[in-house]
Amino acid sequence: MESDLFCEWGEITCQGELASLRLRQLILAVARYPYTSLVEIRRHNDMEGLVIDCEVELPQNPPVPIQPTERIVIAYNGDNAPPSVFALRRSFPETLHQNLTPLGGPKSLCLFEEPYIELQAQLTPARLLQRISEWLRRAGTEELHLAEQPLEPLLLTMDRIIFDREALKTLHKQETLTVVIPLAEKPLLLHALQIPVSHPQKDILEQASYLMLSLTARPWHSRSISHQPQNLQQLVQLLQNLDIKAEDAIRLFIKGLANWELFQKYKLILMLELPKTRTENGPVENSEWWAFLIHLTLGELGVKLGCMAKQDGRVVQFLGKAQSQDLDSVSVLPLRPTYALSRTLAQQMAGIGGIEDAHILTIGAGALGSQVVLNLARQGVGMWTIVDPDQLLPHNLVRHGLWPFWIGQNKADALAAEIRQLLNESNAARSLSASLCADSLSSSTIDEALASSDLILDLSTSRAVSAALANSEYCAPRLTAFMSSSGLHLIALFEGQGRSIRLDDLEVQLAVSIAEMPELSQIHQQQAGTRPYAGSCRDASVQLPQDIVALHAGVMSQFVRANLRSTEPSINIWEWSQTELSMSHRQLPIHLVTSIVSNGWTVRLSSYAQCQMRDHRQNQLPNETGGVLLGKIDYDLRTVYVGTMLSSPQDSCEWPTTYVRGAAGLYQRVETIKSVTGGELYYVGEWHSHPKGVSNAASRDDRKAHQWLVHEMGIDGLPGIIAIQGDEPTPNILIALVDEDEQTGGDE
Amino acid sequence: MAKLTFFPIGNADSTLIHLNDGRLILQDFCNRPITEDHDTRVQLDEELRGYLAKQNRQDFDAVAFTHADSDHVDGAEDFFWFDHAAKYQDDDRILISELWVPACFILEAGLKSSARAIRQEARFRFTQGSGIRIFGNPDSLSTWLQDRGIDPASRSHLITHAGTCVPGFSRSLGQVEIFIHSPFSFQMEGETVDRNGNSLVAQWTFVEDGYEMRCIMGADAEYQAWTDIVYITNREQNCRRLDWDLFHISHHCSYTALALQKGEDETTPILEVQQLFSQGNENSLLISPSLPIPNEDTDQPPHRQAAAFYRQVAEEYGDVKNFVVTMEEPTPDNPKPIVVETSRNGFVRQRRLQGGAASVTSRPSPRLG
Repeated sequence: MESDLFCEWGEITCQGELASLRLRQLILAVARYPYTSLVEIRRHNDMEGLVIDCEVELPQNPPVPIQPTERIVIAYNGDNAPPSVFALRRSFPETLHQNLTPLGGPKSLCLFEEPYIELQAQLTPARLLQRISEWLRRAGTEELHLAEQPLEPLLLTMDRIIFDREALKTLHKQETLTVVIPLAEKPLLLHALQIPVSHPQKDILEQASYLMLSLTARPWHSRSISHQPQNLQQLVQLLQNLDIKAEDAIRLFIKGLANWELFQKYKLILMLELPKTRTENGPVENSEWWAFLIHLTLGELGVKLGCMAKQDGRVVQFLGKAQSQDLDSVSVLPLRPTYALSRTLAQQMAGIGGIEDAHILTIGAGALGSQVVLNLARQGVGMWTIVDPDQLLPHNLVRHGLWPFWIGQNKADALAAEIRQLLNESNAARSLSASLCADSLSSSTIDEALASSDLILDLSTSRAVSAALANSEYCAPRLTAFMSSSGLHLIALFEGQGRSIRLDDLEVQLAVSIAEMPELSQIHQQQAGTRPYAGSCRDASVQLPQDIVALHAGVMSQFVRANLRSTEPSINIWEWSQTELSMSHRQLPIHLVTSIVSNGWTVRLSSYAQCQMRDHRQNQLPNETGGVLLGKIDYDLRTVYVGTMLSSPQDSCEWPTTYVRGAAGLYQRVETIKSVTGGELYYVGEWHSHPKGVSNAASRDDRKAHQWLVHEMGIDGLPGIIAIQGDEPTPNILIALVDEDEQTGGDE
Repeated sequence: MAKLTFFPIGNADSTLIHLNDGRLILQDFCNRPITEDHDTRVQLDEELRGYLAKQNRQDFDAVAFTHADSDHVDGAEDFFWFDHAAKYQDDDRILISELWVPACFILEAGLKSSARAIRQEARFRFTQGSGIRIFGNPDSLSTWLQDRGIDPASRSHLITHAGTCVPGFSRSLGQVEIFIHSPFSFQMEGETVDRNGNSLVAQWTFVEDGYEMRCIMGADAEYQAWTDIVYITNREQNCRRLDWDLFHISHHCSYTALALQKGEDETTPILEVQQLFSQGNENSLLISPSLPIPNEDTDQPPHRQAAAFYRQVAEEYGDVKNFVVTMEEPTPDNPKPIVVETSRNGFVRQRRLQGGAASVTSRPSPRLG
C-alpha cells in the first residue's frame, strides 16, 4: 500500500489462505457490486480483512472531504463477530458515527445503530457493501446523524461509571467530595457518590478506592473528542484543545484534599462535561460526558505532576514550581459514564415531561397500595407520605411490592425507604407507622401531612378510614380504591379537586348503582376463597394471584396520574375478564347531595332519591304515594345517607288524603338489595307525598306513624325516619331515636 | 429535489426530468423491441410505464421531441395518446399535456411513421390552439397558419424563441429555468431541412436551497450548430447561459459534435466548442447517451476520439469517472438508467443498486407458464 496515502493495516495474504467464510462470500459480492473493487486481502493479528476501493455517491460540492473513491478494509475476527470497517486514507475526515480509536490509526466506521446480532440474519454480504456505501455517502453530505440522535460517539468499552448528573452540577465543590466505589470487576462497574467533606460517612469511605474530579469545557458544536487517548500526556493534550488546563486542575485538587493520609492511596477519575451545541454558536442542547480512570494513586500522580514529592517514605507537598514528567507513561482507561436514576430520569424514561411534584398521602401499604405507590414512584411521580400500621409478614410476599429483605419491618417505613433509594432522593418519601382512624387524626404529624397533601389516596380497604377521611375538612380530594371480594373488580371513588361530592356519598351512590344495575350484581356475590397464613382464627388471607393485583395496580396508578389535578368526581369499576384476559371499564352515575339537619341527625339526601320522590308524587297526583327509603346509617356520626327509594308496593293504598304503604314483596326486595350490595344499602325509613297545594309539614297521622316507626326501629337501636314530600322542593324529614328527646318538626 | 433519468437505449435518446413540484417532462423517445438475448438495452415503454405507475399517473406534463430523427421518435405512435386520430386513443396510452417541438418539425414534408404521427399531432394541437409549444418562429410557420385561416397572432403565445426561457417554469415555479439555445428562426427559413442543426438545445438551471445547477441538453447538435449557439450567445452577452455542471452530450458521442475532423486519438474541437467545454465547473458530469465506447475506430458514433476528449474534460474538472455512458453504467453487460439528482451541494449521480424486491415489484413479471 502507498503508505503516505493510506494507513498500514496488517500484512498481505492471499485468497487461498483466507479462513473466514464471510470474507470469501464478500469477495463474490464485491465482484458483483459495480461500485466496489477488490484491492487485496490482508491479515492483522486475529483479524482477516478485505481491502476494497469503494465508489462514493457524492454531490459535486460535498461539504465534507470524502473522496469519490475511498479505500476501505472490512475485517472479521472469526465469523460470528460483527465486522470492523476502517477507512484507510490517512486524511479521511473525522465525522460522526466513527468509533473511537487510537491516534494515527485508520478511522473506524460505526455502521450499525442497532445491535449487530439483531441484524445478522438479514445482513447479506451485498447489503453490508450497500451499508458501507450509504455510510460514505451520508458522511459526504453531513447526513450521518438524524436530528434527534444524541451527539456522542460510541465508546468501545464496557467499563462504566455510574454517576448522578444533577448532583454533580448542583453541589458546591467546596462542600462535597465525590468518591467512587467499585461494584463489579469485569467489566468494571464503578459508582460515584457525593459525600460531605466535613463529615464523610465511614462506611462509604471504607468501600471507596477512587476519587472523582469533574471538569467542564466550553460549549462546542462538533466532535470534541476524536480519538481515544492512550496515556495521560495525550489526555492532557486533548483537554488543552478544549481549553481545560488539566494538570493545573488536578494539582489544585490534590492540594485541596483534606485527609491526605487516606486519599493518597486512592486513584483519580476525571469526569469531563462537554456542553454541545448542534450548530456553531447555537444554544447548548445537552452535554457529552467522558470519564477517564488514571492508573496511578493520587500520591504517585502528585509526584508525576510535580506538585508532590517523596520525602522519608512519605508523599508531601512540593513547594517549588510544579513540573510534569513522564506523563506518557501513565495509562488512562476510558469509562462509559452511565446516569444514576433520579426523579427526572425516571420521568423521562416513563415518557412524562416535567410535571409538578404532587404531595400524595397514601393510607394502606398493602398488596394493592404498595404496588400502586411503586408504579408511580418508578415513574418519578409523587412526593409520598405513606401510612400503615402493619408489619410485613412472609405470606404478604405473594402479592406485596416489597421483598423478603423487609420482613418484620413496618410496611410504610420499608416502602418509603425503598422509594428514597430508588430515586436517590432523601425527601422522596416519608412514612408514618400508624393507623388512621378518627382518634389519630388529632396527631399533629398526621394532621400536618393531610393538610399539605395534594391528593389523599386511600388504599386501606377500611371503612373506618374512608369514613374518617370523608368527614374531615382537609381540602385535598380523596381517592379510595379497593378490589371486590373476588379480586376481579377494581373500584375507585374519586372526589375531584374541590371536593364537590364527598367520599361517603360516593360510596352510597356506588351501592345504589350496584343495587339497580343487574350487570353489577355479581360484585359482592363472587367471593374468592381464603387460606390461613397462621394459627389463629383471624389469620386468613384471600386467595388471589399476584398478576391480577398487578393489573389493578397498573390501572390505579394510571388513573392517579390522569386525574391528579382533575376536578371531576367519578365512580369507576374495572372488571377483569378471565376468559378474554382483558379489562373493561365502567363509570357510574354521580348525584349531588343535600345535607338536612333534623333533631340532632344529619340526613345526606342524594338528589337521585330526591328526584324520584318528586317525580312519583307528580305522577300520582291527585293521590298521595310513597315507599321506602334505602341508604345507610352511621350511628357513630349520627348521619343517615339516603341513596334511593323504592316506590309503592302493589298492595299500597293511594288516596287523595291518605297513603298506606303496602308490603307485597317488599321484604324480599329489600333483602335482595342488601345482599347484592354486600350490606351497604338497606332500609332506612319511609317516605310519602302530600297532595298538591299541601306543604310537607307532618300531619297528625304522620306523627303517629313516626312514633310507631321509632319504636320498631328502636329495637335495633336505629332511628325511625319518615320523609314527607310536599309542595316544597325539599322533603321534610322526621327523624328520632327511641329514648331520645324529640324536637318538634313542622306542624300540619 | 429534481431527478433526471437517462435511459440506456443504445445510440438513442430519452431523458425523463422529474421536477421538484412533481411535474414530469420527457425529452425524446425511442422504443424499439428487444428481440435478442444479448441486447442489453432497457425496454423504454416498460420503464416509463413503471415510473408513471409508481407516481400513480398515466400522463406527462410535457413531452419534447428535439428533432425528427428516428432514434429520437421511434415507437411514439404506439405509446402515446394522440388527439388527432382515434386510432391513437385507448386506455393504455400515455397522455401528453403539452407537446414540445421545434418549428421545423411541423413544417417538414415527407415524414414517415413515428415522425409523421408526431408531426400530425403537433399540427393538430397547433391548429386547435392548445397543448403545444413550438420553438422558433420562421415566416413559413406564419404562412402555414394563414393558409389554414388562422391568425398567427392568436398562436404567438404558443411559440418560444431561442434566447428566451420556456414559460411556466422559473425559480419559484418548479425550481427550474429552461433557456432555449436552439433552434433559431432564421435558420429554419427555406426548403432544406437541417434536423440536427435545428434541434431543440436548452440549458436547464435547477435551483435547490439557493444553489444553482445547470444542465445543457445537446440533442443532436453538431459542431456547426454549436458554433452558431456559442457565437450568438456571446453576441447577446449571455455567456452564463453556456455554463454547465452537467452536459448531455450531443449526437451520441460523435466527433461531428466537436469538429470537422475526427482526430487520431482525440478529437480537437473547434474554437467555439472549446469555449463551451471551458464553461464547466467543479466535478462536472458528462453523460453520453450512446452505446459503449469502442476501443477501435468506427464510422458510426460513438467515436473513441470524441470520448477521449470528453474524458479529458471530466478529468480536468475533477474526476475522469464523471464521464459516463448510458450503455456502460453500472456495467456494460447490464446497463441501468443513469439517475442524477439535484441537491443543495450540486448534482448527485446516484450510485445505488436498483434491484431486489423494490425493483421486482415495480415492474410486471416475465411471462409465467
